[in-house]
Amino acid sequence: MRAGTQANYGIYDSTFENNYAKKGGAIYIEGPITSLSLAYTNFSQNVASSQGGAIYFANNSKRFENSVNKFPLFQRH
Amino acid sequence: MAFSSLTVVDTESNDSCAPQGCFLYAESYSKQNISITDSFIHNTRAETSITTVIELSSGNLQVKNTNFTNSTASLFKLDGTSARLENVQVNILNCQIVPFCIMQANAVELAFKDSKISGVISTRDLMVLNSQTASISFDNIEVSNVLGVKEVGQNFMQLFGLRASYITGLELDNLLFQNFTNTSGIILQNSSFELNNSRFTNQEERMLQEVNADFSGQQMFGANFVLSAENYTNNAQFLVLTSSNGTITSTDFNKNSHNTSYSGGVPL
Repeated sequence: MRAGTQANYGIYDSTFENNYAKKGGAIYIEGPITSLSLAYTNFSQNVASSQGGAIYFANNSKRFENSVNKFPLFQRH
Repeated sequence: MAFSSLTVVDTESNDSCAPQGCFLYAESYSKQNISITDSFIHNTRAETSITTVIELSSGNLQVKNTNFTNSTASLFKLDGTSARLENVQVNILNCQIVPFCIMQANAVELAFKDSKISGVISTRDLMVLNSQTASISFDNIEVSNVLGVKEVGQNFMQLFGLRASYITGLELDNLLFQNFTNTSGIILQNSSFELNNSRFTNQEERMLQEVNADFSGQQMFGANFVLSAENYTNNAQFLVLTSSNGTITSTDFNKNSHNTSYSGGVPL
Protein backbone atom coordinates (compact mmCIF):
# COMPACT_ATOMS: atom_id res chain seq x y z
CA MET A 1 0.00 0.00 0.00
CA ARG A 2 1.25 3.48 -0.88
CA ALA A 3 -0.11 6.40 1.15
CA GLY A 4 0.17 9.53 -0.98
CA THR A 5 0.70 13.17 -0.16
CA GLN A 6 -1.56 15.60 1.70
CA ALA A 7 -4.02 13.04 2.90
CA ASN A 8 -5.34 11.45 6.05
CA TYR A 9 -5.60 7.70 6.24
CA GLY A 10 -6.86 5.27 8.83
CA ILE A 11 -6.27 1.53 8.83
CA TYR A 12 -8.08 -0.49 11.48
CA ASP A 13 -8.48 -4.15 12.31
CA SER A 14 -6.50 -5.27 9.28
CA THR A 15 -3.74 -7.70 8.38
CA PHE A 16 -0.70 -7.25 6.16
CA GLU A 17 0.91 -10.61 5.50
CA ASN A 18 3.65 -11.91 3.21
CA ASN A 19 4.13 -8.66 1.30
CA TYR A 20 7.33 -7.58 -0.36
CA ALA A 21 8.80 -4.32 -1.68
CA LYS A 22 12.10 -2.57 -2.03
CA LYS A 23 11.04 0.03 0.56
CA GLY A 24 8.12 -0.54 2.90
CA GLY A 25 7.19 -4.21 2.61
CA ALA A 26 3.61 -3.51 3.69
CA ILE A 27 3.15 0.29 3.68
CA TYR A 28 4.99 3.13 1.97
CA ILE A 29 4.01 6.54 3.33
CA GLU A 30 4.84 9.06 0.68
CA GLY A 31 4.16 12.31 2.52
CA PRO A 32 4.45 15.15 3.08
CA ILE A 33 1.56 16.45 5.14
CA THR A 34 0.22 12.96 5.38
CA SER A 35 -1.39 11.45 8.42
CA LEU A 36 -1.70 7.70 8.82
CA SER A 37 -3.31 6.01 11.80
CA LEU A 38 -2.97 2.27 12.37
CA ALA A 39 -4.94 0.40 15.02
CA TYR A 40 -5.64 -3.23 15.79
CA THR A 41 -3.56 -4.23 12.79
CA ASN A 42 -1.23 -7.18 12.30
CA PHE A 43 1.92 -7.22 10.23
CA SER A 44 3.29 -10.66 9.54
CA GLN A 45 6.25 -11.71 7.43
CA ASN A 46 6.48 -8.53 5.43
CA VAL A 47 9.86 -7.95 3.85
CA ALA A 48 11.66 -5.00 2.28
CA SER A 49 14.83 -5.57 0.33
CA SER A 50 16.13 -2.15 1.34
CA GLN A 51 14.40 -0.33 4.21
CA GLY A 52 11.23 -0.56 6.26
CA GLY A 53 10.15 -4.19 6.48
CA ALA A 54 6.63 -3.26 7.61
CA ILE A 55 6.51 0.54 7.14
CA TYR A 56 8.58 3.05 5.20
CA PHE A 57 8.00 6.72 6.00
CA ALA A 58 9.25 8.78 3.04
CA ASN A 59 7.90 12.22 3.84
CA ASN A 60 9.22 13.68 0.62
CA SER A 61 8.90 17.34 1.51
CA LYS A 62 11.74 18.47 -0.73
CA ARG A 63 10.24 16.80 -3.72
CA PHE A 64 6.85 18.21 -2.80
CA GLU A 65 8.16 21.75 -2.34
CA ASN A 66 10.03 21.54 -5.63
CA SER A 67 6.89 20.43 -7.40
CA VAL A 68 4.91 23.32 -5.88
CA ASN A 69 7.47 25.83 -7.05
CA LYS A 70 7.59 24.32 -10.49
CA PHE A 71 3.86 24.12 -10.97
CA PRO A 72 2.23 26.96 -9.00
CA LEU A 73 -1.50 26.57 -8.49
CA PHE A 74 -2.26 30.20 -9.35
CA GLN A 75 -0.54 32.09 -12.13
CA ARG A 76 -1.05 35.61 -13.44
CA HIS A 77 -1.31 35.96 -17.16
CA MET B 1 7.64 23.06 6.95
CA ALA B 2 5.78 19.98 5.84
CA PHE B 3 4.68 17.83 8.71
CA SER B 4 3.49 14.25 8.58
CA SER B 5 2.39 11.84 11.25
CA LEU B 6 2.18 8.12 11.83
CA THR B 7 0.16 6.80 14.74
CA VAL B 8 0.31 3.11 15.58
CA VAL B 9 -1.96 1.71 18.31
CA ASP B 10 -2.66 -1.86 19.42
CA THR B 11 -0.70 -3.28 16.54
CA GLU B 12 1.42 -6.40 16.26
CA SER B 13 4.36 -7.02 13.98
CA ASN B 14 5.73 -10.52 13.62
CA ASP B 15 8.69 -11.56 11.54
CA SER B 16 8.86 -8.43 9.41
CA CYS B 17 12.31 -7.76 8.09
CA ALA B 18 14.54 -5.42 6.10
CA PRO B 19 18.22 -4.59 6.04
CA GLN B 20 17.32 -1.32 7.80
CA GLY B 21 14.17 -0.76 9.87
CA CYS B 22 12.55 -4.18 10.15
CA PHE B 23 9.38 -2.57 11.47
CA LEU B 24 9.83 1.09 10.54
CA TYR B 25 12.28 3.20 8.60
CA ALA B 26 11.74 6.96 8.31
CA GLU B 27 13.62 9.22 5.94
CA SER B 28 15.17 12.44 7.13
CA TYR B 29 13.75 14.93 4.67
CA SER B 30 11.36 16.65 6.98
CA LYS B 31 9.55 16.69 10.30
CA GLN B 32 7.67 13.61 11.31
CA ASN B 33 5.62 12.77 14.34
CA ILE B 34 5.62 9.06 15.00
CA SER B 35 3.74 7.47 17.88
CA ILE B 36 3.69 3.75 18.69
CA THR B 37 1.47 2.73 21.62
CA ASP B 38 0.22 -0.54 23.11
CA SER B 39 1.95 -2.59 20.43
CA PHE B 40 3.99 -5.77 20.19
CA ILE B 41 6.94 -6.11 17.83
CA HIS B 42 8.65 -9.45 17.80
CA ASN B 43 10.81 -11.82 15.78
CA THR B 44 12.93 -9.27 13.99
CA ARG B 45 16.12 -10.71 12.63
CA ALA B 46 19.33 -9.05 11.57
CA GLU B 47 20.04 -9.74 7.93
CA THR B 48 23.07 -7.46 7.83
CA SER B 49 25.36 -5.76 10.32
CA ILE B 50 23.26 -2.57 10.09
CA THR B 51 19.83 -4.07 10.60
CA THR B 52 17.58 -2.14 12.95
CA VAL B 53 13.99 -2.50 14.11
CA ILE B 54 13.12 1.20 14.18
CA GLU B 55 15.33 3.75 12.45
CA LEU B 56 14.69 7.50 12.23
CA SER B 57 16.86 10.37 11.07
CA SER B 58 14.67 13.28 12.14
CA GLY B 59 11.39 14.16 13.76
CA ASN B 60 9.72 13.09 16.96
CA LEU B 61 9.25 9.54 18.16
CA GLN B 62 7.12 8.35 21.05
CA VAL B 63 6.96 4.69 22.01
CA LYS B 64 4.73 3.78 24.94
CA ASN B 65 3.46 0.53 26.48
CA THR B 66 5.14 -1.50 23.76
CA ASN B 67 6.98 -4.85 23.83
CA PHE B 68 9.97 -5.83 21.74
CA THR B 69 10.72 -9.55 21.91
CA ASN B 70 13.07 -11.98 20.25
CA SER B 71 15.24 -9.78 18.07
CA THR B 72 18.67 -10.20 16.58
CA ALA B 73 18.63 -6.67 15.16
CA SER B 74 19.44 -3.39 16.90
CA LEU B 75 16.22 -1.96 18.31
CA PHE B 76 16.49 1.82 17.89
CA LYS B 77 18.74 3.96 15.73
CA LEU B 78 17.88 7.60 16.32
CA ASP B 79 19.73 10.41 14.57
CA GLY B 80 18.62 14.00 15.02
CA THR B 81 15.50 12.78 16.70
CA SER B 82 13.50 13.73 19.73
CA ALA B 83 12.49 10.45 21.32
CA ARG B 84 10.35 9.57 24.31
CA LEU B 85 10.29 5.91 25.32
CA GLU B 86 7.98 4.98 28.18
CA ASN B 87 7.02 1.59 29.60
CA VAL B 88 8.96 -0.25 26.93
CA GLN B 89 9.56 -3.95 27.59
CA VAL B 90 12.52 -5.59 25.87
CA ASN B 91 13.01 -9.34 26.11
CA ILE B 92 15.24 -11.90 24.44
CA LEU B 93 17.76 -10.04 22.33
CA ASN B 94 20.67 -11.72 20.64
CA CYS B 95 22.88 -8.93 19.36
CA GLN B 96 25.96 -10.55 17.93
CA ILE B 97 26.24 -9.22 14.40
CA VAL B 98 24.95 -5.67 14.86
CA PRO B 99 27.06 -2.82 16.30
CA PHE B 100 24.72 -2.00 19.18
CA CYS B 101 21.86 -3.74 20.89
CA ILE B 102 19.18 -1.48 22.34
CA MET B 103 19.90 1.97 21.03
CA GLN B 104 22.24 4.24 19.20
CA ALA B 105 21.32 7.89 19.53
CA ASN B 106 23.03 10.92 18.05
CA ALA B 107 22.00 14.53 18.61
CA VAL B 108 18.71 13.70 20.23
CA GLU B 109 16.53 14.73 23.04
CA LEU B 110 15.96 11.40 24.67
CA ALA B 111 13.71 10.50 27.58
CA PHE B 112 13.66 6.84 28.56
CA LYS B 113 11.57 5.88 31.58
CA ASP B 114 9.71 3.10 33.40
CA SER B 115 11.09 0.33 31.20
CA LYS B 116 12.60 -3.14 31.56
CA ILE B 117 15.34 -4.81 29.53
CA SER B 118 16.12 -8.46 30.18
CA GLY B 119 17.43 -11.57 28.53
CA VAL B 120 20.20 -10.13 26.38
CA ILE B 121 23.16 -11.85 24.75
CA SER B 122 25.40 -9.30 23.15
CA THR B 123 28.87 -8.84 21.79
CA ARG B 124 28.36 -5.09 21.70
CA ASP B 125 27.20 -2.19 23.81
CA LEU B 126 23.61 -2.14 24.83
CA MET B 127 23.36 1.59 24.37
CA VAL B 128 25.64 4.03 22.62
CA LEU B 129 24.67 7.62 23.20
CA ASN B 130 26.72 10.18 21.34
CA SER B 131 26.15 13.88 21.31
CA GLN B 132 27.65 17.09 22.55
CA THR B 133 24.31 18.78 22.94
CA ALA B 134 21.84 16.07 23.73
CA SER B 135 19.39 16.35 26.55
CA ILE B 136 19.08 12.83 27.88
CA SER B 137 17.27 11.48 30.89
CA PHE B 138 16.79 7.92 32.10
CA ASP B 139 14.35 7.21 34.89
CA ASN B 140 13.39 3.87 36.41
CA ILE B 141 15.08 1.55 33.93
CA GLU B 142 15.67 -2.05 34.96
CA VAL B 143 18.35 -3.97 33.12
CA SER B 144 18.84 -7.61 34.05
CA ASN B 145 20.27 -10.88 32.83
CA VAL B 146 22.69 -9.52 30.27
CA LEU B 147 25.42 -11.76 28.94
CA GLY B 148 28.33 -10.32 27.04
CA VAL B 149 30.07 -12.67 24.65
CA LYS B 150 33.51 -12.10 23.26
CA GLU B 151 33.61 -12.16 19.50
CA VAL B 152 36.15 -14.45 17.94
CA GLY B 153 38.67 -12.88 15.61
CA GLN B 154 37.80 -9.27 16.38
CA ASN B 155 39.49 -6.62 18.39
CA PHE B 156 37.28 -6.68 21.40
CA MET B 157 36.85 -3.13 22.62
CA GLN B 158 33.17 -2.79 23.39
CA LEU B 159 31.93 -2.71 26.91
CA PHE B 160 28.52 -3.84 27.94
CA GLY B 161 25.80 -2.28 29.94
CA LEU B 162 25.13 1.37 29.43
CA ARG B 163 27.67 3.42 27.57
CA ALA B 164 27.25 7.14 27.31
CA SER B 165 29.90 9.17 25.57
CA TYR B 166 30.28 12.92 25.27
CA ILE B 167 26.93 13.75 26.69
CA THR B 168 25.91 16.71 28.74
CA GLY B 169 22.96 16.73 31.03
CA LEU B 170 22.62 12.99 31.52
CA GLU B 171 20.46 11.94 34.44
CA LEU B 172 20.21 8.33 35.48
CA ASP B 173 17.64 7.53 38.14
CA ASN B 174 16.55 4.27 39.67
CA LEU B 175 18.55 1.96 37.47
CA LEU B 176 18.72 -1.69 38.37
CA PHE B 177 21.46 -3.90 36.96
CA GLN B 178 21.39 -7.56 37.89
CA ASN B 179 23.28 -10.69 37.03
CA PHE B 180 25.57 -9.18 34.45
CA THR B 181 28.19 -11.58 33.24
CA ASN B 182 31.31 -10.41 31.50
CA THR B 183 29.89 -6.95 31.32
CA SER B 184 30.50 -3.45 32.42
CA GLY B 185 27.87 -1.13 33.78
CA ILE B 186 28.47 2.39 32.58
CA ILE B 187 31.20 4.16 30.70
CA LEU B 188 30.96 7.90 30.71
CA GLN B 189 33.47 10.05 28.88
CA ASN B 190 33.65 13.81 29.22
CA SER B 191 30.13 13.92 30.49
CA SER B 192 28.19 15.68 33.15
CA PHE B 193 25.57 13.65 34.85
CA GLU B 194 23.77 12.76 37.99
CA LEU B 195 23.21 9.21 39.14
CA ASN B 196 20.64 8.82 41.87
CA ASN B 197 19.18 5.92 43.78
CA SER B 198 20.60 3.18 41.56
CA ARG B 199 21.88 -0.29 42.24
CA PHE B 200 24.72 -2.17 40.61
CA THR B 201 24.95 -5.80 41.65
CA ASN B 202 26.79 -8.92 40.60
CA GLN B 203 28.84 -7.48 37.78
CA GLU B 204 31.76 -9.63 36.79
CA GLU B 205 34.98 -8.72 35.09
CA ARG B 206 36.24 -12.01 33.76
CA MET B 207 36.01 -11.06 30.12
CA LEU B 208 37.43 -7.66 30.77
CA GLN B 209 40.46 -9.20 32.41
CA GLU B 210 40.99 -11.38 29.42
CA VAL B 211 41.34 -8.34 27.21
CA ASN B 212 43.56 -6.51 29.67
CA ALA B 213 40.90 -4.11 30.72
CA ASP B 214 41.16 -3.28 34.37
CA PHE B 215 37.70 -2.27 35.30
CA SER B 216 34.07 -3.13 35.37
CA GLY B 217 31.16 -1.52 37.05
CA GLN B 218 31.65 2.10 36.16
CA GLN B 219 34.49 3.95 34.57
CA MET B 220 34.57 7.69 34.18
CA PHE B 221 36.98 9.80 32.18
CA GLY B 222 36.88 13.53 32.58
CA ALA B 223 33.42 13.38 34.02
CA ASN B 224 31.61 15.80 36.25
CA PHE B 225 29.33 13.69 38.30
CA VAL B 226 27.16 13.36 41.35
CA LEU B 227 26.49 9.94 42.84
CA SER B 228 23.80 9.87 45.47
CA ALA B 229 22.19 7.04 47.40
CA GLU B 230 23.82 4.33 45.27
CA ASN B 231 24.25 0.71 46.19
CA TYR B 232 27.25 -1.19 44.85
CA THR B 233 27.16 -4.85 45.88
CA ASN B 234 29.24 -7.82 44.86
CA ASN B 235 30.93 -6.23 41.87
CA ALA B 236 34.44 -6.63 40.55
CA GLN B 237 36.49 -3.43 40.58
CA PHE B 238 33.37 -1.48 40.54
CA LEU B 239 34.20 2.17 40.33
CA VAL B 240 37.12 3.73 38.51
CA LEU B 241 37.42 7.48 38.35
CA THR B 242 40.01 9.07 36.10
CA SER B 243 40.44 12.82 35.74
CA SER B 244 36.98 13.36 37.02
CA ASN B 245 35.30 15.75 39.42
CA GLY B 246 32.40 14.81 41.57
CA THR B 247 30.80 13.94 44.86
CA ILE B 248 29.57 10.68 46.33
CA THR B 249 27.00 10.86 49.09
CA SER B 250 24.97 8.31 51.06
CA THR B 251 26.31 5.45 48.95
CA ASP B 252 26.82 1.85 50.10
CA PHE B 253 29.73 -0.28 48.88
CA ASN B 254 29.35 -3.90 49.93
CA LYS B 255 31.24 -7.11 49.06
CA ASN B 256 32.99 -5.69 46.02
CA SER B 257 36.10 -7.61 45.03
CA HIS B 258 38.50 -4.76 44.29
CA ASN B 259 39.09 -1.38 45.76
CA THR B 260 37.65 1.65 44.17
CA SER B 261 40.36 3.39 42.19
CA TYR B 262 40.83 7.11 41.84
CA SER B 263 43.33 9.04 39.82
CA GLY B 264 43.48 12.62 38.68
CA GLY B 265 40.78 15.17 39.03
CA VAL B 266 39.76 16.89 42.20
CA PRO B 267 40.01 14.75 45.34
CA LEU B 268 36.66 13.48 46.43
